[in-house]
Amino acid sequence: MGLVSHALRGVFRNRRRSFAAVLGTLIVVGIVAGENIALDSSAWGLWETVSQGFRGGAHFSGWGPLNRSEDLRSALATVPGFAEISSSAHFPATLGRERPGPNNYYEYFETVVVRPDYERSLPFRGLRGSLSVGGFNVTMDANLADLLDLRIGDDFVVNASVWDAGSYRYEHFDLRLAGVLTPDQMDSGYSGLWRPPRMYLGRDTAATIATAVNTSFDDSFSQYEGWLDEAAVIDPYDVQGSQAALRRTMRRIDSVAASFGVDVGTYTQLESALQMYEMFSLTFRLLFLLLSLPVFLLALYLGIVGVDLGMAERRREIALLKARGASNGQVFQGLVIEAVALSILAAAGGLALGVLIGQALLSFGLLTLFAGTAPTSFSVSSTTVLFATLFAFLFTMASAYRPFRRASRLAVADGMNYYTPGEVAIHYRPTIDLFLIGLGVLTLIADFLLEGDSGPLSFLLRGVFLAITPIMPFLLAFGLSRFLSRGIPRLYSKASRVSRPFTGDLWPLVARNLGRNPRRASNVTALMALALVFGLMITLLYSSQVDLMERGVRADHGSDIRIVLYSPNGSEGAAVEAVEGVAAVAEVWVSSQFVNIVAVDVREYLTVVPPDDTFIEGGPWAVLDELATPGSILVSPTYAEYEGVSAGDTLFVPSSVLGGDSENYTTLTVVGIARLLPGTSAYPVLFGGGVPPTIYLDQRYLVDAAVFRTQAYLLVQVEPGVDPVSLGDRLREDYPGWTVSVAQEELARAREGPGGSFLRLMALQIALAIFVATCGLALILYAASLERAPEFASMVSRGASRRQVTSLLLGEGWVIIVIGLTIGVIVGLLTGWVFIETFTRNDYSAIQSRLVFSWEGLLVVVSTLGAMFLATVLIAQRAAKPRVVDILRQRGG
Amino acid sequence: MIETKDLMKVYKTAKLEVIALRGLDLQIRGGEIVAVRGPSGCGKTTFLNLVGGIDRPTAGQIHVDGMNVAQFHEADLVKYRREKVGIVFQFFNLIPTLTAEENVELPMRLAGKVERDRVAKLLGMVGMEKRAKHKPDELSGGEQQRVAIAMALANDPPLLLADEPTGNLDSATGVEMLRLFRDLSKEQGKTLVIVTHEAEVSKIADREIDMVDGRVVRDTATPKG
Repeated sequence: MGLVSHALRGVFRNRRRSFAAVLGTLIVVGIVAGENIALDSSAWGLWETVSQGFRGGAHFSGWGPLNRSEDLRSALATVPGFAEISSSAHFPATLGRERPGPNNYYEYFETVVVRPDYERSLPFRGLRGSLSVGGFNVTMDANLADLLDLRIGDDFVVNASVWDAGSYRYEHFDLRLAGVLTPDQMDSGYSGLWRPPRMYLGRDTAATIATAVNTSFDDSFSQYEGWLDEAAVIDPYDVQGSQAALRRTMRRIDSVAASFGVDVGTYTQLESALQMYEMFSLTFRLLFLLLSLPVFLLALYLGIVGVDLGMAERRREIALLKARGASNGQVFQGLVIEAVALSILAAAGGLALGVLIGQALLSFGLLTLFAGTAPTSFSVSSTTVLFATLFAFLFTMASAYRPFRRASRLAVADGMNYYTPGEVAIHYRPTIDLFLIGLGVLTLIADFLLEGDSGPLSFLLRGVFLAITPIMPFLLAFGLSRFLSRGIPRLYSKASRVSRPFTGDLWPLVARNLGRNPRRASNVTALMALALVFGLMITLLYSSQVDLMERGVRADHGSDIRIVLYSPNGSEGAAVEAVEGVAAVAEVWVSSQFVNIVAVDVREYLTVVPPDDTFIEGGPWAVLDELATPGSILVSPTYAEYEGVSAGDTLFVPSSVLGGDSENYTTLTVVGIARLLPGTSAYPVLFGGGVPPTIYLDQRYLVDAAVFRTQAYLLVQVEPGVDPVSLGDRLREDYPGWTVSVAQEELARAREGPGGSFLRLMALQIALAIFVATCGLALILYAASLERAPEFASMVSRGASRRQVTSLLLGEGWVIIVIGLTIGVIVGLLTGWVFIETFTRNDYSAIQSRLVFSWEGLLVVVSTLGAMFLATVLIAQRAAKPRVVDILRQRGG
Repeated sequence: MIETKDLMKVYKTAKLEVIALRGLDLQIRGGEIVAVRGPSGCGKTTFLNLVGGIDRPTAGQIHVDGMNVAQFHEADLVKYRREKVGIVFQFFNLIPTLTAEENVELPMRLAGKVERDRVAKLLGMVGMEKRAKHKPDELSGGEQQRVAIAMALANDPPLLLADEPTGNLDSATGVEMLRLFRDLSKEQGKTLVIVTHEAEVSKIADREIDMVDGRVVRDTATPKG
């Protein structure tokens, strides 16, 4: 007990030391709690998103006699979780609507006859228009209205077919669409299976039609449709309980309905939805943990550094305990008790920090990638609290174990003599670091060499190295920073010269001080390098992907707007050119034969499509000018490989390729290989897809142009100052049959997509990684400033100014920053480049990915530099105010 | 050289005030060797710290070469510590990462004027020329104190202050150290104020000042034999 109280006093009395020891854990728990709190708060949102995928989730249906429907409803009302029930009858005739077009056909659909009580279903469905279904007015499901191209108020004709004495008999009826049911959740058919969209008739209309087609209509046997009160049954925070409540409710409904002769399908998709929700919820929690892993590792490292520093400070205290009879075991036990107390504090503090992180995640829409909907309430589940506590305990123990073991085995005499550390003779063995560097470099080389090699051994090796590749940057950064800063002592003496702007002639002192405890300096270097590599990798890959995506959109559109015409008549180009705001139009004809033929008017095309050399393999964009020469063609890389041709080769092909007959032949000259002529692809190349074998040529040299007018694209260049989006809207309005795509809209859509959410989420992780690295530097400099207070006091007494003392710590911090920054930036850029070169490049793709160093990457470097420098300045400022007399008096013992 | 008037120093802690000096009036002439003695807590180290410019008085004046150190701004104090005073501490206070010669060089670096010849000369003067490349943890206590003396003399200050310089040394080394102080002081004309318990100090001091409870209770000229 005495040991416990001694340990606890130690935790609470030395708050600074406790904070340093627990900082890493606090960050980890904060992240874990924050992410889980965000997910807890989005539980209803996630549930709604997931359950939307299950048609008729809260719906059940059954068949039975109609005569006691009101009694049935009253009986069911006593079942907790029951919401409502309505009835309808089956209509015996099949109704359909003729669809005009080149191939006329009938669209048949299911028809039901609604009863007055059907209005009870409306709260669950959402009605536009009216359910007044008398006098040949009808209502239909929204998807059926879409299918039939009908709007509320439209008159239309249906065809009723009836099997009559061995043949079908048809009658036509004029109907008017009075309302559309646009349910929040599409209801399911019996047994929960998908049912076709329905039209709803009134009883009088149904009777008229039935009489006309000479069939009987009996509505005494009904289909019942019922709904559950979802809020009473489902609780996304208690999936097991919800499942039990759901089964209980369905069983009770089933048994009540059976007593009325109604056979209810007890199957409901809510149960599947709950299972899916549980899986999604768990997946998101794991995914968040996975995405946070780099920050966790950094924070663990920070935790070890923090505990280690605390132990260094306590050598004398521990030695005193042992001198007075404490055993190694007792010291270790005492430290473990401290760790447990610290982990409880970390759990509490981490949960508080988690609330802030959770708010940030929710406020900045960082969950939209996963949950899709806004949070419904801010809440913290018991699972989250347990999770946070578990993480706090595990991380505290993981970061404290090694320093505690070392401290408990401290030799008493060493500890008692400890005032200010001199140079620490660390026995550094570079084996592990060299292994990490070697593995990283080998992976780097293997990724390059094995790229595109399809041999079985290569495949196997590539699999192995692919598994290592995601951690390769971290292996390199960690191994290099440790090896360089510990294994090469001269690094500090050389690098210390960069501190001269701060320290002037005192710079050799910086080298000595860094060399005094290279392990500490090395730890910060590694932390910083790892944080930078993580930040740079993410931003480089993301910005390169955004660049690829944007160039993909431009490659798809060719110009500002692309219009797809499926049955062009040749007049569309002129019509578009006459529209106000249009600068120029280029028409592209596409014909799919054994090879795709894309015909452009080169002069027009070059006017509207901006030049871009990257689309031409090994040659400039200007090669397109050569298409104006008769018989000149460009071919796609796939075609070039298929035919074994390259630029300068000639092809002897049937004239049919140019729209002529297949008996004559013509000679074509390949003037270049085009990955794609922008705006001419039938399929999106958004994420780096290739194009099938294709020949590009000029329209003027086609034998018969009409052959190629099966499909055409109009590439529209908009006049300067004209908004292409508005122009696109106008074209859509004027020509509803055309597919009009505006590059600017597509770009905005692509940027708004999940990628944006992902970047924001990763930005938070990067910020945390930088924060962790900054804390590491601050901790180590702070510890150094405390440990060396007597030295600083001694220097001040010998004439050092405050600025000079500040400059020494500033210089030390700066040298660490420069080394960490150099390693981090080099490894980050190198591995980012390798990732782009080896994983996202495709020889056949229309657009090649390239390494793009964006402002986000620069921001990562600048903010790391800024945060660490600021931390250094603050600590240095503090250290520069030693209370000389007090410190020297303490020193005197 | 040194004159204090009504010098007072009160240490304040959260719970109590400790009066270390109670209106100290004292004059020390240039080139004099003065031993300040007294029981623990009598204020002798406080007096030395105030004269050395590493602490500020609560009240009173300290004139060193006509300048009132008590009214110095921080920048003046830095300049004063660099140029006018050399302090030798009981626990040497050498920088552990620097060699003996680098330690001696440090005050010069701080003042922005490194003279390597002077470093060697000073180390020779204290008999440490052969141990110049050694770091403090490779030196004995006496050797460390010699380095500390050379360090105090680095910028050739006219005033040397020594706070129990022999307190951490064995008696033989202590005596040896006192002689070194005397020789240096006399050869270079330095004013030397030594705070000590050491009885042997009377052999080198021109004056002995005894302090009790923050006041001078006896000021005696030491007869030289």
